[in-house]
Amino acid sequence: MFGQLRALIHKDLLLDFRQLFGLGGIFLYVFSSFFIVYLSFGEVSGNAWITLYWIVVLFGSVNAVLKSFAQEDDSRNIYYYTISDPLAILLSKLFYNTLLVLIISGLSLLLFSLLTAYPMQENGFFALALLLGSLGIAANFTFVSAIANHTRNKSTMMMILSLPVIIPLLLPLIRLSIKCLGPATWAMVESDFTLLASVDLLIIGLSLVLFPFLSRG
Amino acid sequence: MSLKRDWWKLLGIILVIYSLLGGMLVPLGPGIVRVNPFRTTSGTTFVLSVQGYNSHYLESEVQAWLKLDEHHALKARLVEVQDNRHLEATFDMPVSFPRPDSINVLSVVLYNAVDGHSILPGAIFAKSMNGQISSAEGWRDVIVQVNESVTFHFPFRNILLETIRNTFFHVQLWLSMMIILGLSMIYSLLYLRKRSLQADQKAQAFASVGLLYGMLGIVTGMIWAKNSWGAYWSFDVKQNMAAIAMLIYFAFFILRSSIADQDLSRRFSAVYNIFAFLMLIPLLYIIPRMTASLHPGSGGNPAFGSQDLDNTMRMFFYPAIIGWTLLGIWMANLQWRYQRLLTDQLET
Repeated sequence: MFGQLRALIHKDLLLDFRQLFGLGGIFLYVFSSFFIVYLSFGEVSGNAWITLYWIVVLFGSVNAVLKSFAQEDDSRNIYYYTISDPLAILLSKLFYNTLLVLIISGLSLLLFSLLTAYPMQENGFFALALLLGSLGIAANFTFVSAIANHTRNKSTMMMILSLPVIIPLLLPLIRLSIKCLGPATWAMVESDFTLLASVDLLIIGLSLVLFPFLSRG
Repeated sequence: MSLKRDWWKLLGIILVIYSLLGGMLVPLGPGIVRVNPFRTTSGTTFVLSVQGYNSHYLESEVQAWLKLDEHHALKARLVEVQDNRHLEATFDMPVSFPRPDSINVLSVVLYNAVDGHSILPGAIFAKSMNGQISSAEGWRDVIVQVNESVTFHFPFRNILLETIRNTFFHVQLWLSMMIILGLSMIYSLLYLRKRSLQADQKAQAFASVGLLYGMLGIVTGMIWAKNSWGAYWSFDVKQNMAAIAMLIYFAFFILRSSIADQDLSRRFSAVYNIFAFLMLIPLLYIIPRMTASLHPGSGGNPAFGSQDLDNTMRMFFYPAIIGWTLLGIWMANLQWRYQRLLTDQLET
């Protein structure tokens, strides 16, 4: 099982590094969206900064994760599903997409901080929030893109199917980020972290259980 | 229509009519709507005019108290009744309060043999002119503790007033909706295990009825909100979560129609149905409880949830849920039978 996982992740990495336009396109997307907003708003601070940041990360991740499913055609996918366990495929995609979303959010953080002042005071809590948030976003988009891959307009379906579910993920995330703008104690952020962690677990658990039904046939 | 087979449809109709009639016709219990003025100071004689609701002040002698806490109350020296709904109570405020606070919050308590106790909590702000001295002198009157008389009425809750009847329309729609959407999820599960066309059709029928009930729930909630909060949509947490839940099920139907392959579309929508229902629970139940909101029952409002229902309300509330669920099952039944006829026709 681990052998399969490693092989699949390796395959995804190779694909993305050989055709740089995929990843490069996404980073360009993130950078240009931020730049446009920054040009129109001028100085961005506090709550506006946080909202903008998470929106840019979200829309960048949608493209990234959808691409990871859509880039291979049907026959190749059938080949993968026959030679490896569907759970291994899901886990490998989950792991790879989480990495991708983490890189996107990290890079966006860097970009934002270069062009405007870095507003976070509680770095530790924010880093943990980034981790849990990226995991949840990646897990949700992975599952939904597995469904949306077979529909007629993929990106529209992706938005429609995933955005309602992303809300219980985004709400505690944005609340957490706002709390991290000033000094915060563990007691203040504990409930948000528990909610975030439980929503993450729920999404991952559901995808693990339901994915095999998607992959047969 | 044979009674043996369709008895549950008749039961549904009877229960719904019963809950509607009862919900609208049963009167509200007596209570206090407002008092005037709401500020006083220590050591003064204070005349309080009280307006009651569904009260019978003329029919039996009324006693009035200003209640500070469990052990301290002040009885009115004189109570003048103007009519069944209005009275004036005269209180001689003592010189000091039992606690050395400069401002004390008092509740108004009325008792009469016909109405029982009526309370308006936190109604009066009493300022102490010599805040350093604390003494319980004058605050030792005892509020009459008598078993309440038995008349059939709904509880009187401040702020909610008559809109408490919305329980039978708004709250039970949501509970019926959860039951119906749960049934839809079960049929989706059945479809994934057995691949029977019937299970998928039933799942879709239940999902559409569930969506209808959800929309009705939101509309009834909006009408209530316009009356109680002043606006149809206040971006309250529960309202937002409810809207998102509806979006999820709309997405379910869009998904079904956007996949070309029939078999694939049924399978994927079954998976999404299960996913959507299991995400609904954190949305509708856990998140609103974690944040303060305007909704009754959360964040400091007069608590109103299923724990707070009076026995009189329970008599109509549970039948309402059962009745509406049965009606919903009937609607879904008609819908999937119609679908089955269509597919049978296509195959012949």
